[in-house]
Amino acid sequence: MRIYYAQFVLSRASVLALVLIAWGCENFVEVDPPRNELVRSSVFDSNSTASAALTDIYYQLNRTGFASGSVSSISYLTTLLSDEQVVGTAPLVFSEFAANEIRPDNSNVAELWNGMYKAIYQANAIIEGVQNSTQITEEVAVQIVGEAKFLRAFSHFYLLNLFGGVPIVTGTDYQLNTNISRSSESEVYEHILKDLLECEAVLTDDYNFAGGARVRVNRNVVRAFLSRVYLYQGNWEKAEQFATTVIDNSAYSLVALSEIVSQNNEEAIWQLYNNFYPNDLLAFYLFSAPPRLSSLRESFVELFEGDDQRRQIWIGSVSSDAVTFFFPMKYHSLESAAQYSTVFRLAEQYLIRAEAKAQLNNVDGALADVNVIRERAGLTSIASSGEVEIMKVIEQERRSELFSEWGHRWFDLKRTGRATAVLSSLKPQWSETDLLLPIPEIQIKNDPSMKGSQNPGY
Amino acid sequence: MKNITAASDLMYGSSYYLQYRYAALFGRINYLYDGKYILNITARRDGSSRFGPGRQFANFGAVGAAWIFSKERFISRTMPFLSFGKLRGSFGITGNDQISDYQYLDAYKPSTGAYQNVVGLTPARLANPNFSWEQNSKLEGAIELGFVNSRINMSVSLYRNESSSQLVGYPIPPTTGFASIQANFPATVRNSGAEFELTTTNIEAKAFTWTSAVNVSIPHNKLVSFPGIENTSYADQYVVGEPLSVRKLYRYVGVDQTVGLYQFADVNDDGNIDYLDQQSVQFVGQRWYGGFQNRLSYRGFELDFIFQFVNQSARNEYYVMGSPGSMQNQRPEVLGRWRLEGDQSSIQRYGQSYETDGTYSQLQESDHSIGGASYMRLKNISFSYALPVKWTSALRIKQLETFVHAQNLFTVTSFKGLDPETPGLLLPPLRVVTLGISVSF
Repeated sequence: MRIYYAQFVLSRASVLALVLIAWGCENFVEVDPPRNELVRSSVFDSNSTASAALTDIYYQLNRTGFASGSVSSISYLTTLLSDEQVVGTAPLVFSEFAANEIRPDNSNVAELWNGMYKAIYQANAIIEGVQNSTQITEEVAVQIVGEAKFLRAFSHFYLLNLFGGVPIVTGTDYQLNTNISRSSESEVYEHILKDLLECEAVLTDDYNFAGGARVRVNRNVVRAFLSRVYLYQGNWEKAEQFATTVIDNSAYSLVALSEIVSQNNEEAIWQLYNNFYPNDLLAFYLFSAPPRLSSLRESFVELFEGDDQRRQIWIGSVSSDAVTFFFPMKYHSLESAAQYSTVFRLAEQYLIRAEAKAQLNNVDGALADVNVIRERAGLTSIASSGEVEIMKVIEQERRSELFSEWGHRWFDLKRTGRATAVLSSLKPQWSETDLLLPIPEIQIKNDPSMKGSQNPGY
Repeated sequence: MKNITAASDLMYGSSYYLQYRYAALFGRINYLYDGKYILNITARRDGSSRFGPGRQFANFGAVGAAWIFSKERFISRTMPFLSFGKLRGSFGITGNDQISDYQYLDAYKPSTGAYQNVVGLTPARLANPNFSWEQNSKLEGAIELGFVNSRINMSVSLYRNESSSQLVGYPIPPTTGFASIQANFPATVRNSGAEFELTTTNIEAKAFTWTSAVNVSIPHNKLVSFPGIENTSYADQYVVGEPLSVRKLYRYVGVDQTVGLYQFADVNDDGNIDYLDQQSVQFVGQRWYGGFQNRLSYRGFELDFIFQFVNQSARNEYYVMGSPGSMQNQRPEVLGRWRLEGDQSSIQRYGQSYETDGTYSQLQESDHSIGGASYMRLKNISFSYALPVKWTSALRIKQLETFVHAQNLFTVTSFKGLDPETPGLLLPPLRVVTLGISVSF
């Protein structure tokens, strides 16, 4: 009997012990955050980590995608859309751009879209994180929120100009962003300008916070961008006003043609830091013929005026079998960090102001600005007497100065209504609906609010 | 170097850290009565650190029972030919936490590189604190019978498994900044079916034996429910009430006689043929399959063969052939393609343009690319002869055997693609014939 009693007690006691252990286990399965991660609230608890979260956005811009200057960037892909470059036997993801016959499942389109919305997410995360933080100093908070708002507006601007009216994303809540619909073009512009004017008011004029390097956004970068946004919108007075503030700033002046993308040169307003060489070099420079992907269209090269130095310094050529191929050579140096991928530079501001003045019927003023650019390029000035087709002059100057940079040629053709006139003879399957890229299929499929809102013609 | 900022070049290497904790408490009761009645009950409570606060624990359990009725006196009296009979059934629920860790945690991690020698912080993931255990329920019933001293054995089993709250990377649109998020799928998927098996010892004589076996499986898969499917991208792939392996495809209407291109129905009449017109629901997969095996042996000879049979639908020859005119081998049928206005054909005109590439891609996503792929194949046959021991020992060897094996010897099918067992453009199972001698000393 004693044996059975012992067994009875032992079995009941062990069951009780197990139950007690199990109840204590509730806390056992709660683990701490991993040592290689920092919880969001901690990130925004200190100046250095919050700043690191911001600088990562710049790093991602340069690394790959829409702003990197690589073959998947806006700088490159828009040269295929416009009359700047032609493709040889290139993969469909590129040849579709060159033919302006792009399918909604094109992976380059998806990468552009995804990259811009990823940057927007990171910017929104900064803005929200700083808002909810109590530990960051005022100065740092204002600085990084200002930069984040700029980057948010910057991404929305390119989404707008490539795709038309797009969803405006101002928060990180994925449940809202999964069910978000397209806004109208004017709504997106309104939002972009709101962000830009807010950060223009608070950012500093200098680059001291970036150690003097022109690789982060300060007030002058915002102003340079504002002049461009107003120009695109047709607000000529504001475009002229902001271009003037940048041009008049002694920190910026035109440099020699071969130096326009050098590291931290005086013409640069905003560049992207790298410690090797810019992606634009690999995208455009032809080391051998025939070209792997694309080359400059011959008729584009021929349109440079006779003694235009830019034709010598910014265009390279390479031959094989008696065929010569031309390529943009603004980025040419393999020396580590000699050149930076340049987003904004002073020359564009002169051309923005020239166009704004021309639209405000100040042809003399417009010519003065155009001539500054022409003089640097070794061309003779255009006299203000006599018949001058100023808009044609400006279009030609913008072409010669800004080709293969950030889609200027493509966006100019679009906004001046000149696209069909210029491209329909060069692109056999051209139609008006090609002015906008198709919204990536993956967005429309996964976002119920965007069902049926694909751009026309796709 | 005491201070990292004194370095001229900073490079960041990735670091990984993972802590996974799991706690479970379970108990089990087994009951066997009279050698005939069996009962099993288990219950458990599991907790995993992969789920967010408040969602780590869940309860699971199972019940099983069996009855060996052949041992009942009234059975053994009335049915003496029944040597074994068992009826069993079971039901259980299990869970699954096989996902990455920390998916509920909203955190940043160091970036892959530095900007101005400062390594940035980048969001580690899009966090969802709301997901929890995946649940699978299994229901099974079976009957096993043996006749005539186990010369004939058969079993029939029916099963029904349902899986719900599956843990998936749920696809979300790029406006969220990410491609997917860890979440419980609101869908319920059912895998049910029947399996039948029969083995017989047909002849068992002194010199000659012959055994055979047949098995048939009839699987059935169904998406039982998926509330809100029309608001997700899954509405393009899955249909509630149909198996998961269906495809939603264009409806093929033929080769246009005027233009010579493949034509498809514009279901929503919007003038475009796009994914919104992919409304033809076609089943791709196996309906039933099985095998039939025989083994015969007579003295030293042995013959063993197995047939495999499958009833299924799969991607047919149109899916793999490539657009006629492109640089790909074609079937002789393309000689009968459309050539002139008024021609009737089932193959579109040769072409190398965007246009013909486009219509061919659409053909691949149409119901014309799905067809029957049922087959019966002699999967394995083996014929061997082993020398009798008398002779081998005379030769001072332990064993000598000559054999011929063949795999995939012949197939009976009307499938016109490469191979019905591996539909698509894959290297099919090869026909292999081997002859040999095996000697052991």
